[in-house]
Amino acid sequence: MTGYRLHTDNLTVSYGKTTALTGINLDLAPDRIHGLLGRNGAGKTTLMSVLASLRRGQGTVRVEGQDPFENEAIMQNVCLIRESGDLLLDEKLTTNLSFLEDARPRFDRTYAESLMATFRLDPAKKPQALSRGQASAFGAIVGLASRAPLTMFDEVHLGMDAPARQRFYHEVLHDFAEHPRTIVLSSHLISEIAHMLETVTILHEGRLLLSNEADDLHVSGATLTGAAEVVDRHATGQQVVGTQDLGPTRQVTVFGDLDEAALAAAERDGLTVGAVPLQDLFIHLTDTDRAEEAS
Amino acid sequence: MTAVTDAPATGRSTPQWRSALHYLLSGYVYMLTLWFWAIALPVVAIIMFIIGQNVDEVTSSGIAFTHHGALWFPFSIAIILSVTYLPIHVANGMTRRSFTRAALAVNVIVGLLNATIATGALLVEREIYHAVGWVHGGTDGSGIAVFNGGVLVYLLGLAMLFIAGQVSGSLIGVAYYRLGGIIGTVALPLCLLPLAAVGLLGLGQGEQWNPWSWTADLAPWGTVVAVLVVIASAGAFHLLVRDIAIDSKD
Repeated sequence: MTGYRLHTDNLTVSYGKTTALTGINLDLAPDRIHGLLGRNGAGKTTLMSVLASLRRGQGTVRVEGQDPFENEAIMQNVCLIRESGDLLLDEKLTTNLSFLEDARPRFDRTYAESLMATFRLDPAKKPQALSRGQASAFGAIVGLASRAPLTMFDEVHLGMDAPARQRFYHEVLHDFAEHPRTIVLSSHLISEIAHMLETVTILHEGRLLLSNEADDLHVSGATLTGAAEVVDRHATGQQVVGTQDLGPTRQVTVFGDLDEAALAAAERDGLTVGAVPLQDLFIHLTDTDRAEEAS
Repeated sequence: MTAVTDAPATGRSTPQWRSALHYLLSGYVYMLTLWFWAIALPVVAIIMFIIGQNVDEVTSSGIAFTHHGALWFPFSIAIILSVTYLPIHVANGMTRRSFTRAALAVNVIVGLLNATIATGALLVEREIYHAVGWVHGGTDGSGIAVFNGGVLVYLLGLAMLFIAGQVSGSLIGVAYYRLGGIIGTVALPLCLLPLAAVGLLGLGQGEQWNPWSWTADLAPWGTVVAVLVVIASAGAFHLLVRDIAIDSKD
């Protein structure tokens, strides 16, 4: 199986007088796991809705080189899981599986049923009788078992508890390895999904802030960990985007092109130098209040 | 750890609209239609039996009163289908075009099904009325026989009315979904045009049952206009659905 390539050119989407997305130029390569990040209202859901043909925007949208809107061959292979999925609420889960089997040409019912057993979901229950966590789990199952060449999860794991989320992350990676496809993950739990992401796209206030390889972002700064006074000495003059203290130990995240000599000096002074956490970077880049104060 | 199986074949053998039609018919309509008649027919039989015990002669069909149910119940279901099923259909990767085709096919199939069951029940009822010496008249109290214009004409009139009712329901649902509460309400008279056209023009006075006990006697042009209005309304339904935005779940 091959995943779909995504491309948007000057994509703008408005809801009445409110502009949700402005001039988005984006390319996402096939067969990779992409992270789509942004604060509330940044336009993540709108972007995925356009890719899934739930609504139209102005500008160009191409999924595997084709306009996806009302394109039967593309639409059936694009799966957007919004929260708990779009289900037949008054039908049993097993009936929903039958419906999805008809709707999704690559839907793997056996896999879906094995995941339902893993997440302990009763096939005879109706979606409206599920707890929030169970509903989220079923949404995740639908997304995984659809095996769509473009699969997008929009905050699908919101209601899951920590063990369920870990199981979901494990299944995403495991099934992606067996059946490569293009996966877009949108989540506010950045630190939990950071290790899965191959690229990171950040939207902010309807505009594209960045779209880079995750590895490149991790080296766009550094963490310095060690004795607080030593850390402070080496962080002086750097752009600090995060600080954490644990007793006498301090960890700061600095952002920007760092001097190799300065990093080597920090290590010589006993500090541990690490990659910049994605979450710190995200907070720094999207912290509007801090940016306004700085200006 | 869960089992990983090979992905199923990637080709689709069934067009999307037929998959949707299959679901809508099996999951919604057959069930609801059969339930309706399973309840309505015994209730009518019991009521007619009680009436028969208390009057010398019955002059109106009992079954004909169920036409209101066979009209307005699917009308309501058509509204619900447009509002609740459309977003699920599109969000699960099926086109709006396939929804339109499936929904209109359901309207026609269920309309024909209900009209056929109703007419069959009326034929049985007529035999019973004749056997006990009652008059198998219409619900308007005029004493004119239910099948005054012929059984097939009556069946055709019912089918047109039931189909038009569902087209109106589909239009109302999608108008509210697309245009919102205020404009959807303002558009109600337009959405009800198919039902009004068939009910008020239709096949002409005395030829068909109608929900308002009055039909303009303009045959055959009334019929032509009514059919054209239903076809135009189906086109309007398609235009409203073809690029409709599916609501976010926020």
